[in-house]
Amino acid sequence: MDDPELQALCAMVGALIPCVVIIGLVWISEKQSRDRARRLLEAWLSPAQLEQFRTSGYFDVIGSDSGRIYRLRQGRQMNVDELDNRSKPLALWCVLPEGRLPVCDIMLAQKIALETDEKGTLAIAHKGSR
Amino acid sequence: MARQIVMDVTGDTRHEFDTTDVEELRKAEERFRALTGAGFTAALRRNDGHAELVRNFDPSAEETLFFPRLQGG
Repeated sequence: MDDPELQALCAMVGALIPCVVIIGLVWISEKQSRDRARRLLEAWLSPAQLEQFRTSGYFDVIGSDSGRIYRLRQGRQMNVDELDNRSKPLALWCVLPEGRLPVCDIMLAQKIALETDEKGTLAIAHKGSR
Repeated sequence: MARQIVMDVTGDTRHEFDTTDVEELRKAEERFRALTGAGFTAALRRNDGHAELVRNFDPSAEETLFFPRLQGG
């Protein structure tokens, strides 16, 4: 180990190993969070929503006050489409829980909010154009 | 066993309690008040994927979900 270049390489590898381990642990932890949130969401969906979610990656909910249909796509923001009577996107809404939650938790909170208190939810939400 | 599910960065944290145990029920009610007081919304799961918002602790509820206050994105 008299070669300075080899020593430098060993030092660099030694420094990188903890970083790789930390990145790996973070990735595993985030995957576990995503999986847990997905299981929770699927447990709270109706059978029709669950089938739609598993086949298409999104699901529709019916607003509690207007009866309008909203499509919840996977995403943290700007993922709520209000549909017209031909199932075409009419408006885009953005409303989400505070804090950094996994995507499926966000979708579940949006579903419950729109299905139980549509007016209150839209009063908080930001509306975008399509 | 009943459970309270609190959404968080790990997906969720679960608190299970025996609804026939007075002390566990008291703790569950305290938790309910603390969470809703901090801005969380509480919801019960009903049949076929329907949910119901609740503002008071229901000692007979089998599963209560809490999600953080909503905000416009």
